[in-house]
Amino acid sequence: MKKVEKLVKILLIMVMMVAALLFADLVVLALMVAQTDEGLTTIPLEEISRQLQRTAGEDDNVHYSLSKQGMDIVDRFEGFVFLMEDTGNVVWSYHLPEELPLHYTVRQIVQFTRFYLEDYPVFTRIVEDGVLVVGLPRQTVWKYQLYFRIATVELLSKILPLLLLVNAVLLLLVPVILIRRDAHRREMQRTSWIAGVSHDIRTPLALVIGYADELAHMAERDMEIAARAQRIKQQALRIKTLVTNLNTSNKLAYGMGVWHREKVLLPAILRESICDMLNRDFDEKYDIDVRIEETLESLYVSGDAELIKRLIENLMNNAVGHNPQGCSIKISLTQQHRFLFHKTVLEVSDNGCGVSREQLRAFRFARHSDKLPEHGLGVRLVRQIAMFHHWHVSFCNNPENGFSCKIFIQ
Amino acid sequence: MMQYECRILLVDDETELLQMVGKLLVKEGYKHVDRAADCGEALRQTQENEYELVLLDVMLPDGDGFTLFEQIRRIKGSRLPVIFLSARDEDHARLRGLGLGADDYITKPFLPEELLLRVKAVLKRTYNLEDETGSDRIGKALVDWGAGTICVDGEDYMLTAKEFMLLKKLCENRGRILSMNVLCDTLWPDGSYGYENSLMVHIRHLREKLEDNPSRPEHLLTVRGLGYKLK
Repeated sequence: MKKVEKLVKILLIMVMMVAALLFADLVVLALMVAQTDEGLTTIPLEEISRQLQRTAGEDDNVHYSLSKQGMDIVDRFEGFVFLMEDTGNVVWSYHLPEELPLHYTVRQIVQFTRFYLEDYPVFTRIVEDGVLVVGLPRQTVWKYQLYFRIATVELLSKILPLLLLVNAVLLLLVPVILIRRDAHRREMQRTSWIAGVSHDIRTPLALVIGYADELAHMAERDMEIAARAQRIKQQALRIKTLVTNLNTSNKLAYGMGVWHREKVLLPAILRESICDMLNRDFDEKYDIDVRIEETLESLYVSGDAELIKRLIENLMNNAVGHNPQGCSIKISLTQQHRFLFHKTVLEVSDNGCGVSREQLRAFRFARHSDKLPEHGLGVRLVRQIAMFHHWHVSFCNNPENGFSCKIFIQ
Repeated sequence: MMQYECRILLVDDETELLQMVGKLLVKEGYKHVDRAADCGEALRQTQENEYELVLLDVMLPDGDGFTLFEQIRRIKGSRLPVIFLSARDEDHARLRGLGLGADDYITKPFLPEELLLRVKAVLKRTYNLEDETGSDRIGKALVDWGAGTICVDGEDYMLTAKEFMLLKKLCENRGRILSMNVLCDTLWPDGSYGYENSLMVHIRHLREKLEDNPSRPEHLLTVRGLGYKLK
């Protein structure tokens, strides 16, 4: 999980870096545009029209001229200006190219207001005397008319923020999804690998158990060899349990197993798993005491029978593993009453030496981690199986002696 | 047919396991045990020979055990019992094997005695071997399965239908503890809950016929809180 978190952090940093780079690119582009345009796209038409001066001549006609400031503006663009009356006649001009006519038809006016005048990009402004036309040198401005329906613009104004929001969410979600998919693939690989090892180890274990059994029978007269062969067999069975636990634990942790939730008669499962254990060369130094309350004989629970059997088996194995000198193992299914509530409790306890405080803490607060515990895989699996069934589980050392695990079923 | 006269075919690609299980069966007393390491060899042997049981691995070099099982069943019919002996412990593999009609599914690694017991149980179930061997001895008592009686000191006691079923189940699993739920399921397969007291009555009646002192049984033992065991 730490690896996944690290990957998420790296990806988020990358996303932020990409966003920052995009912003930087936009700023650079804007600066470049500003530099090359030199304000061409924003012709100060209003300013130029203000700088147009009118003086009454001796012939009672109006004479036009551009102030020094106005000329400076036009010169900066290397452009030209002319004033056209409503009749289409040019009544005044400044730096007007020679090839341009001094009279314009309506058709020409309509054309150059939208596009170009003899390839000169021109801009118009209505003034009191007619139309002021400001032109720029050829090949300096790309001029194009854009039209949008109002409804489209309104729709865009509504959709654009939403699109931006969706983009932002996608930008955050996509890396998370990718990481999750990668983590899932890794989990699958890990589960398959463990399942593969679990599968491959079974045949050699069958051989070890078979040969150890044969050796024990062959050396019946030599008690020591027979006992050692028996021990080999027990250890091989222990490896089998460990591998099965590892496989099951992994499948439960990553949700890879095929588990069932069906109605199972709990007392029957309980007895069956204990019988299976006892029928499998269970050491006689362990005394088993099973107590099932009569009222609970018909207790059906929703769950996976195989997992419940594994839970019981692991708790019994735990008692055996912690008490090599032998002990009594008590398995009970009872009802506990508290105020108005009653709970069904499955308890597996022993009168052995109990477990250390550290182990107890590890049992109680075991969380999933990439690090495999050195011990206690069986108890960890008990916790996982209880969680799978939505049962509460508690571990404690008995007040007198021994260890106890209580599973609160309902 | 005698139990040990039954011919068994072992199919597994692990030569060493094949040898070990073969030796185990021969040592137990089975006289005819053949081995095959792949599907082709197994099919050839089933076509050429008659077998009473096939022990079949699921993963084989030239195919899978499930397909081989179906081919064997096509050749020999459903009468030939098959036990899967597999390293695959997943539920779906076990269910597939049993769903196809296999008689048992044993997961590796297995205890040798468990394998022998299961082989014996399948053979007994399929060929009604009790009828052939006729009897089982429990202490001083001799159970005659054909007649449905228990003979103790020359005196015959009739077994009721339930007692017969109960004793048969216990004999099939002799030496193993059987939970009371399993025994109730045997006697009342349509729904066994609530029959625990009736089971105890049948056990008491059986003890009266089998044991010298029914209140201190030596053969049909109670395992407190769990069930019963026939020694």
